[in-house]
Amino acid sequence: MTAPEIFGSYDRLMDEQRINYLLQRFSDDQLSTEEAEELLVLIREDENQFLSDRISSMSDMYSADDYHSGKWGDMPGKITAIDKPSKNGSNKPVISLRVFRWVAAAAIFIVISYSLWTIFSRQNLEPSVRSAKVRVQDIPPGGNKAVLTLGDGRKIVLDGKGNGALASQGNIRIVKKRDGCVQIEALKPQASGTDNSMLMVQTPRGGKYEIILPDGSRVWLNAESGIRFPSAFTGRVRMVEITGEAYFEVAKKYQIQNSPMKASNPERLPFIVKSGSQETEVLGTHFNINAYDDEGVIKTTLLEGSVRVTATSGERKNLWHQTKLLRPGQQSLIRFAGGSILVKEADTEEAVAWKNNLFRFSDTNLKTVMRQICRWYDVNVDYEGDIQEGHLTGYVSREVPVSRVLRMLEEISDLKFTIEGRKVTVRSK
Amino acid sequence: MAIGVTCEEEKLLIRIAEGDEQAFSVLFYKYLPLLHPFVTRIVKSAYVTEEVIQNTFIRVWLNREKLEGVSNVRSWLYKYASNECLNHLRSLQQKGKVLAGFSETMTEPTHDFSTPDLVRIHEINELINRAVNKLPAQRRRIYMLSRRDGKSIPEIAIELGISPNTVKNTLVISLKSIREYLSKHGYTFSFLFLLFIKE
Repeated sequence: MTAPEIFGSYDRLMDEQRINYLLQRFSDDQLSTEEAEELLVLIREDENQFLSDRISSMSDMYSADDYHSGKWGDMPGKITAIDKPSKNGSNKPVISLRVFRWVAAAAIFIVISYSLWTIFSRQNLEPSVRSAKVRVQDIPPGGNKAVLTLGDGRKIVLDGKGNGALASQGNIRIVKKRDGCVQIEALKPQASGTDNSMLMVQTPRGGKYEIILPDGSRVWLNAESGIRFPSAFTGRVRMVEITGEAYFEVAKKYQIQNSPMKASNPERLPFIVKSGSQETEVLGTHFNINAYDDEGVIKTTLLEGSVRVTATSGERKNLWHQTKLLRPGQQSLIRFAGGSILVKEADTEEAVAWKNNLFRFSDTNLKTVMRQICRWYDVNVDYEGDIQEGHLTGYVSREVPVSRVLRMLEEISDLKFTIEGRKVTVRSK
Repeated sequence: MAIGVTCEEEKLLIRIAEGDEQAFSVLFYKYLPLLHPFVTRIVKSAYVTEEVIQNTFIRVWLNREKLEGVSNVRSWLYKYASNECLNHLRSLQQKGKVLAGFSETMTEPTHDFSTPDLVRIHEINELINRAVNKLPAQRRRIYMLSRRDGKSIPEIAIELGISPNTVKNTLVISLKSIREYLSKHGYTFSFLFLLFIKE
């Protein structure tokens, strides 16, 4: 063979090896950003259908989800409308584009009329009275309230005014960064074996709070929730424990290596969240865990990155615990009574709506809706008479008095809500 | 799997090429279960996946006349999707350079709850409106009958007393000039890669 022939076939061999390597990494979900770009360019320039055949034949590359509903339901229509000429003038939507996007068709009208109502009501001092009783006994929304318990048992109330350093204990400092956000700062880097105490932040009914942990991870607590964590993350894992509901943005951290040989190849320091009978292992990512006792199920929704969910209850005889890996957009469900982990595609917006100060219901069962309202407004609910257990879809701010939310629910259902003191009664119309 | 396009799919592609929105919807739902896991694995974010898929199919729709020449739809869609993924990854790099000065714990989360893609659709629609208004009278008339009034090519041919072929060719020319107009205003929808065109 001549030189070009040798190098020609060598190039081809190298290409094939490289392609196989990239496809393997893709299959294992181990592609680095550079490798991903390389693979994408190869797919784009693929001459025969070789690459697309290989990719589509990977067993987990075909999803059986139903894409006809939810956010994908109106996408083809939106796309084909893009080159439809408008009749006369432009057809800009009246309300904010963001609301338009996230709300299912049936509820768009309600949200439009709701937001217009709030615009007008701010201008009038006397909003039109629909029910005087509701207005007089209205309940304000929840706010930034929490209690921090230090290792020595001291409790610090986190609402009210006053930013800046609140307290210190040993090697840490508690700093209120702004209303609703507290940071636990390590004053010096921690060595292993340092005296390490546990801290706890709890929110009451009607409360919520954001906490910045010693490693920079951010946690938002919903109402009636709590988190326990050490004052320093020493050791081979970072572990915290939660009750209720929390949204996490976990910082990527690497282990401090003592051996010089390992210094150039740092290992990721995993972040583990315990919540009831579930452990969630995380490596730098954004996700929401809903583990309220009265929901009967632990829901973990992943927005970005990757998590491994493990069910830790169940038969002690089983050494093998059920565990599943989640991809962005997926949600895992574990029943408290033990049992398997169910993974499904989820409405991530609905799962983290609370963190953005919104109630968002997407075909949500009435009782679930009412439980969320009870926690945020610190009220109790009473169901009177025969009530059709319907499903509600809607979207409303959490920063309004309870009457507004209940009014919206009245408009989209055939239910009637009344408030007496701290009790909300639900009846059929 | 030697045959890239079945007879049925060929008919579907022709319908889409001629502007059939329902046919486009069929194609969308047929390939979404395949593209969605692929894109998700590359970009690792539910938000981004939605935007990428949307941009991919916008591109497909605005280049729809080319579908008639496609011999392997699946591969075609993977290419479009890969292109959109690349756009995203490269735009992240740009952002990364800007944020490089901040320490890791200070970086804002990369997702945000605004909807740049929906604003984008609106912008593109506005631009297309303007491009259509700039079309010569006859071309604009045919375009309106097709896209605004939803008439089929044979219907338009009868209404205007011209051959269906003329109608079809005119629509193709209009779509091309719309793409040119968009590209002048920052939105490139033109053909990025040449493949699988049947002679």
